[in-house]
Amino acid sequence: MDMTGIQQRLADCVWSEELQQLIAERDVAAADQIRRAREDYQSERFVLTVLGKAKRGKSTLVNALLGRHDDQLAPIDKLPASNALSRFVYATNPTTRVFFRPKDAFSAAVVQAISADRIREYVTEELNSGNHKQVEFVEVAQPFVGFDPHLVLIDTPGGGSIHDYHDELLHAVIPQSDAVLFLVTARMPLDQDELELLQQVRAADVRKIIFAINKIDQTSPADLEAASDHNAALLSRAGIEVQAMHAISALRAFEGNLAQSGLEPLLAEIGGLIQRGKSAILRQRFRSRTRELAAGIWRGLRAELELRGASAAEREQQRQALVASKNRLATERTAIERRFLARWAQAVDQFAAGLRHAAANVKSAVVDQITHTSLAGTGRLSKRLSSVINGALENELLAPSQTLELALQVATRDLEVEYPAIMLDPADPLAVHTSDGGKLVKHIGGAVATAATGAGIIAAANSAAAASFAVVTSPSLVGIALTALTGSSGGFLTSTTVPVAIPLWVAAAGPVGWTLAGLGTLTIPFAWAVNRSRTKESLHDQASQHVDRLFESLRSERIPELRRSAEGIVEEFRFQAERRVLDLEQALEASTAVPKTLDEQAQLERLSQRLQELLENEPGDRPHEAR
Amino acid sequence: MRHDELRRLVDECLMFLQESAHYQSDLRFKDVLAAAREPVAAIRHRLERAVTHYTVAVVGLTNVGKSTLLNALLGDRLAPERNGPCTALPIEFAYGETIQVTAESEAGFRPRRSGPLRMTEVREILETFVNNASADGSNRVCRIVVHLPHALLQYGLALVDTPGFGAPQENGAPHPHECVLLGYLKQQVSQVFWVTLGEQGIGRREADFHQEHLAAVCDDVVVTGCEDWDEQDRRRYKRRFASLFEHRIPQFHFVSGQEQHGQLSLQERIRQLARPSDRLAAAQSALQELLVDLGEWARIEAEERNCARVELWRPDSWRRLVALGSVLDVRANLIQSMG
Repeated sequence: MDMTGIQQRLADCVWSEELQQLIAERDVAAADQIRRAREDYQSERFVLTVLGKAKRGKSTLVNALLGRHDDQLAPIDKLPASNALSRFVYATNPTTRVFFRPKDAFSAAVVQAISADRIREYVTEELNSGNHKQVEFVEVAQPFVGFDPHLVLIDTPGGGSIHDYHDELLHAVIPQSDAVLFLVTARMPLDQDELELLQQVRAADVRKIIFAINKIDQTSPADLEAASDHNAALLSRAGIEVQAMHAISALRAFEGNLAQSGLEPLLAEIGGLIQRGKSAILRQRFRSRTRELAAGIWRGLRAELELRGASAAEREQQRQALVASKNRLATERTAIERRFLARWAQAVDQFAAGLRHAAANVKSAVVDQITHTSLAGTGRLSKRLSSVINGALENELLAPSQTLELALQVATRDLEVEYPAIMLDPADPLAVHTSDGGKLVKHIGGAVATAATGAGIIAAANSAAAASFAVVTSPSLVGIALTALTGSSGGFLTSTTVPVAIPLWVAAAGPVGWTLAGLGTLTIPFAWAVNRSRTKESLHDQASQHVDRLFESLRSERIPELRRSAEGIVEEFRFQAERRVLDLEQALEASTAVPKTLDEQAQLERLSQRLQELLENEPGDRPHEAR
Repeated sequence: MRHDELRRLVDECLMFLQESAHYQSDLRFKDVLAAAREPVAAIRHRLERAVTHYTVAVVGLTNVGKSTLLNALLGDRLAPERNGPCTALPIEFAYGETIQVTAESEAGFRPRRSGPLRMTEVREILETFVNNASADGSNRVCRIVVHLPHALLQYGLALVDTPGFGAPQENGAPHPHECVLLGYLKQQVSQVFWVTLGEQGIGRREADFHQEHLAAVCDDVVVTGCEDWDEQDRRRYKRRFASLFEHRIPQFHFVSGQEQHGQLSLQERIRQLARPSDRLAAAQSALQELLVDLGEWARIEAEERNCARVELWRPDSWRRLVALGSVLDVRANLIQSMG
């Protein structure tokens, strides 16, 4: 598989590396941060999930995409086989690891390294029936031939299966996907189960669906055409957009007959997607972080250069202004921070106060449902119980969470706006525009200095929230603080999963989303426990216990973390402000020091020039790149 | 046992179960006894038409091969087959001296008849009828009946091809095919062959549908598309999906084109159903099995409560049942199962 877009990434990294080098002379810490931003960007991956009903050929296709001619990595069987999630990533050192479900909400996930030939034992229904081994997912990292290093390929169990935990897995993995490869066969035109699966994909706001009709090797052209027509009509009636309907034979590709497998156009669409899709968001994030770091240095540099030109009297004025700013910072800041902390705490308190009531409601809703099921239906109910609890949970917590989310956002935004600005000279702000439409202020002037790029970025973050991308794109102070907090913690399924029914959090992925994210997946082990006993009383007990456990974990773990994150935000603001002050003080110092030689001055000029060039000429987007 | 005797026994069982349920104050008992009435009611339903017009329907998801299967059973390609939702109405195949196709409508509307026909014309006519009926709902066609002089059907057996369920419907409401199917199942069907596509396994939609609508009337599961399955595959399949069947595990028939194995067992089954006496026997043994199951449950309960099994039943109902059993000469069996 050959993916374009690698050149673009290379250009991005060259740009970042040069910036890092230049800046290292002035500020080692900043240079280090640039390096880290680049490394994050390089390792961020594009998640492509293969979906479809059982026995559509997903695992066969995955094997073919991995360039394998055996089914060691994605086992195939005559009966539906895939039982758990499998993640395939590129790595130079081959490893295979099994991630087991944590025992409860408080334990970490257990990871076990295994040899690749044992994968069957963990992901197939035959050797791990009912997933009694409690596998969350298996990750296979190998230097697959022709596999894009930024691609994460996920193989899934078939949709619409009788097992509830299959549904839970799909429910968890779909919102995390950047794109979905949806597989159907020509012999079985789209049915209601597949339609519902597609609707689930759309509801999770996964925009990109690659659609493929498989098993063309087993179908007559007439049947294929009938199926395509049926599918196309249905998709259009259901309002589901796909770019193309590929007709493939995964089996032929698997057996090595690539030419007649029809896989080429499919691979091209995947490649294009990776290049145009998430890359754009990741790039933006990477570029913003890099740009802001570099711009800060550049501003300091410019300040220093320009200050040299100032007269002694002007310089004295500037120093006064800086001292005044510092004083204001010291006095006003505390009050503002305290206000923010109070508002945050109040919002969290309000949410927490409602929890007990919510717990009681959820419990009674679930217990009601159990009581009103006839004995004959109990067996079925026990299998569905985890979804019942999930549903009740989402119902009950939706409104209070939205209120909480809003309150926190408002508090944080106010903090950003009110925070005292560092000024040298409010007059004469000169600005230069970057290719991104952001603003760099040449001369440090006005509150614009700290908040100029901030305003533009807030706007960008808002529009991103409106467009519902599951990523915090704002590199503003708020964004940085929140990203640090929501960064990966715990298992694959708990870090960024959010309940699908609450799209607000998909957009913000803020601290509230993180708080409630992953609650749904806590119910998976419960489902397995419940299947063992079917009497109603036992169901009552188990359900009540489980609801108690969920809310306890909210109360004792997530809510306190949420409270603490306010302090993290305040710290971030302080840090940034103090750094600005330091920058300016240094600049002032440097300018009053013994004037440098002409050579040194020229060197600094060149450095400043080069930095400005790099900032104004970020590696451009490809002309056909669109969002 | 004769037909009317079996009928009496079944009716008596129904009453017995209902009265015992009322008699018992324990909620769990009430539930179990009420639940036991369902399969008994289904047996009664089967008995009603056991002699004259015993309909056996093939039911399953869209596109699993119901029409193909039916054609194989009839030995002729009569039912229309297509790659996509095809059968929009139930198509009944019943006995008739001459070949005729009738589109029967709801009460108050005239049926449309076509015939006598030649065998080769049937399929085309069927397709026309089905298409017309789907397109123009005004004449309210509820089913199509094909009469033909087929040996299998001559003693009152009728085989029915039904619309598949699970066809896609964008707005979330059940597909019209499904509504038609459910209506038909409730009124007209004595027994069901559940058809499922082997390699797909059984999904949640199928399992739920079976549980809700088919469990009482389904004794046979036909697994299609297992062309290259061996004995081990078949065993694995049964093992994996056996848990879906709570009350009685049905008989599995694995049908494939080449190997005649599954076809034979299926045809044997059909032959059993072809004759009224055999149908009665099947119903009787079904009732027997049910009573044995119930008795087993009662035994465990009685042990827990430290009482005799008989004490679980309402006394006068039990006496009546045993009395009838004497008359019918099954008293010994009854007491052994449940007393």
